[in-house]
Amino acid sequence: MKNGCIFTECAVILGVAVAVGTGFHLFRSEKLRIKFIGHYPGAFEIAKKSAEQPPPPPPPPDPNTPEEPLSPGVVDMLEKKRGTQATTVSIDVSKDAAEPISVEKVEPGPAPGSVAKSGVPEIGVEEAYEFFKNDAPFLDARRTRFYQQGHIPRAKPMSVWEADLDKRIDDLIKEFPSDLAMVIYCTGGDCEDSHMLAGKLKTAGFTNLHIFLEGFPKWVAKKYPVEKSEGAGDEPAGGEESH
Amino acid sequence: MKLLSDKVTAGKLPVRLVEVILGVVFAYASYHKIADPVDFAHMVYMYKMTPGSLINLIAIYLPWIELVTGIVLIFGIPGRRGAALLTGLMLLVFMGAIGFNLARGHPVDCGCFEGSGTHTKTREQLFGEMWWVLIRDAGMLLMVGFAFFWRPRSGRLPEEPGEEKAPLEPAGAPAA
Repeated sequence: MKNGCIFTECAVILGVAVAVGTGFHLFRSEKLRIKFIGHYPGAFEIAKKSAEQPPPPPPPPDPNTPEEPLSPGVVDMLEKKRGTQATTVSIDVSKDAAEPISVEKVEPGPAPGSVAKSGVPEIGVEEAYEFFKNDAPFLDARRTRFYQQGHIPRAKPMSVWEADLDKRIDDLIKEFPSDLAMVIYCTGGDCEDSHMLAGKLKTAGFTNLHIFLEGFPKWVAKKYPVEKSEGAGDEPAGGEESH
Repeated sequence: MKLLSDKVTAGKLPVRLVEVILGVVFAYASYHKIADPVDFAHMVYMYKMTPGSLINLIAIYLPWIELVTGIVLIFGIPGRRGAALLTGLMLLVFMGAIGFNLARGHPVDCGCFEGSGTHTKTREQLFGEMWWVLIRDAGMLLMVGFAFFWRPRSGRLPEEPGEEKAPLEPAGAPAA
């Protein structure tokens, strides 16, 4: 068989794959569709924490006392909310709400006042919990299927990888003022989704964003409230609370 | 029986067997990527080797290339040498990507046969898996080389399915 013939075979196979792939992708459900040309800034950049060995974890914190000074955002919010009663949410962690979380996964929190490359301040779990107690909106940057398995109560699914992100951002713009304090989280560790979402929200005009750096695994490890929702993809934060 | 042993000694059967194995592996590998391109795009992104504008294109089309080459190899559809060539090229790319990230100390989830498991794996686990993937892909590359370069004793390439049939009819046989 001649080489030309082999290359023709390759071209035919590639052509069939592209044609079928395009057709299939155009007609699949919106939840599983991605744009043909994506926009992922930092596609070559490796987060420092994944290139270097993580620092040793700090000793287990006392749950009654905050382990770090609160950031100015939290302090502002606490002052604003002083005198009002925070909504209490059920506090049980459902057993199967989240994936199994390894101890190694939970990383130490950010240094006080640390700021992500995108210019968005990073907060630790105690600060995130303060925001939670004060009804700040939480945005879950993980995939919707992980969100459905378990998320911070009232959090909205905002996966940067899903095609309807722009629509969800539009909804967010309509629902909340742009200067309202919001907390974004994903799975901590090497997860960059919360930083990517923060960048997009910043571009959309939101000015008071905070990245909960350690993410959902740390939240679960601290036994803070977790909500589980079935089919929450279509109806974002309307999940059932676990008791 | 003689026909079978002839095919084995001529190398036709081993080549077909290798092709079918490769085809099954690639078709199976494409399944979860086609089922969830969003997850696969995330994995491609985590390799940190692809321009942002190409990530979705890779996530959409690469699984289909895997599936079509797999089907061609499994069913022996004419064009399987081209499919073997594409399979080899894909394996080289995969090995290059894994090897490069190993070399620079960036742990990635292979994303070869299942959805993202990075959420629950430690760095050490990921590095261990990357070495295993490299070895596995090298083995598969050898199989591709065998399927692609092996010549049967007659010096001819393994016949395409269409070529095997239709022995010449005796001269003067009446037309059907």
